[in-house]
Amino acid sequence: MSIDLAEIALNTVKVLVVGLLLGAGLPLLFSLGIRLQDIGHGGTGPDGVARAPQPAAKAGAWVIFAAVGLVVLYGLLFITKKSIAHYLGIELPI
Amino acid sequence: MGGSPAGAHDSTVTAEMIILILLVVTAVGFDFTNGFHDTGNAMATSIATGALKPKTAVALSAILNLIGGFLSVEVALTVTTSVLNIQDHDSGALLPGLDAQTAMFIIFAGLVGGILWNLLTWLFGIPSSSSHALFGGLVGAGLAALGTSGINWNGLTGKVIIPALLSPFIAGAIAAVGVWLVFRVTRGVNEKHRESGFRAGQIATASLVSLAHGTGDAQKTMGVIALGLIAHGTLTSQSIEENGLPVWIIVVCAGAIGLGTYMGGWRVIRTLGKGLVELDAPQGMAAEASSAAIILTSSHLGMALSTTHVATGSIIGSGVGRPGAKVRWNVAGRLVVGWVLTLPAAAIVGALTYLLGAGIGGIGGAVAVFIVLLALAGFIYYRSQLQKVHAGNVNEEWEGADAELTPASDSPSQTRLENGASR
Repeated sequence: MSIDLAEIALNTVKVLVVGLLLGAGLPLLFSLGIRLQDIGHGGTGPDGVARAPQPAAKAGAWVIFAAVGLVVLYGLLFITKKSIAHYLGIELPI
Repeated sequence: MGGSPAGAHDSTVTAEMIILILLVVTAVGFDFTNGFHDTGNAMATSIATGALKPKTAVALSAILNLIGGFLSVEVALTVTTSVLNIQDHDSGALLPGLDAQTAMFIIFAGLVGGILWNLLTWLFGIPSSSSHALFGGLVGAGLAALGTSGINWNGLTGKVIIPALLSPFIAGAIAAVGVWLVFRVTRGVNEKHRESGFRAGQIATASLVSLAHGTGDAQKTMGVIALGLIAHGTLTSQSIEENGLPVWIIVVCAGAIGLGTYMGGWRVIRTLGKGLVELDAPQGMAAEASSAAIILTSSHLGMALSTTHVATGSIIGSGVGRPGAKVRWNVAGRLVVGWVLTLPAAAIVGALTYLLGAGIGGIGGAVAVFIVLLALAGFIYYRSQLQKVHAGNVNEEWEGADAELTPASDSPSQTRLENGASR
């Protein structure tokens, strides 16, 4: 076995791209959820002007939180995939 | 004994059994240090931002590490192949021509190198990689035993050294982008909603890192113990392939890493959570999300990165990406020195340990190595008690740029008072 620098470079790019998608993309999505939730709550804005609660924004926030939750759940199943197959005999198609 | 062939054979058998037992005990000890050394990788951010109370954080992390250990069904049986040429790359069986005692002494000495380096870096609050410490110890012991032909140099460079050099930058970049986006999007959001939302996110991501750590790292010790048993001849790689590992190995390793995590490597947690950057909840969440994403995906993408390097890189990155935050680069520099030293330092300890053990040979050698290990570990523990870091003072202010890694105000007498008061 020799050191394949091209392969290392390729793998680095892969780790970087997937890492950015999940490691920065999910926090971005989550932040959008928090922002929507804040808008949904209404109350006094940073400018001191009172805003009415917006149920649609609140609902949007929960949709986003659910989506993030699903991705995390997928992550959990992904880590435990082999163990689930081993202990329960269920082969997950992920 | 009398020099009769049968008697000599019996004494070899006894000697090998005792070496094996000490090897297994040492491996479990390594697993334990692996637990408390790495607690901070998952939990430092949550502890620093107050998302979780220190004790709650380590308890949660310990439980997830324990569960993770039990989830390790696919054992890293070929754990040494990336740095040593003592095992078959596919089956994990010992290479022919290597006698049982030599192989066991290499593994034993490698573990001792790993433990002592883990303890020393813990004393100084340096989050260094436990797998690097183990690999370093093994390389040193392998060099002492077999010379340069015993080392898988390409594996060492391509699978250990290069990824270690790259991982802090990869993790740092991802966390920096993440934290920048998070602050951009949540600008102007009510502080209360922001704080509570991100705290929940932090706990979730930290939990993922803990679980992944238990799955990955407990496996390594299981692999090492299994290799010891293979070297001794009690177990064959075929039987592991067919029936899996003996259950006691899984129970003991998962338990040791969980217990180690629960002890909480407070010194390392303090450096990661308070020393590098001042963290708040959104920042901590971005850092831990970056760590979780990389740790969970990198090995599937052909590059196994050390949890410690990734976590540290992410925390630094979260300071780089956040407008107005400042990173204590002198602390970061100290950690880098620790990382660079990890492989050679653990290798020197591993080599010396091998020479001591194999030089004396047999039971005497193994017992001597074990006594030296206990004495040095005891000394390091004693030193750590002179300046304690614990759940009560882990979050104290990091004073000045040149602050010591341990809290300044924590004189021994005060510690006693605090402990007394909290009980």
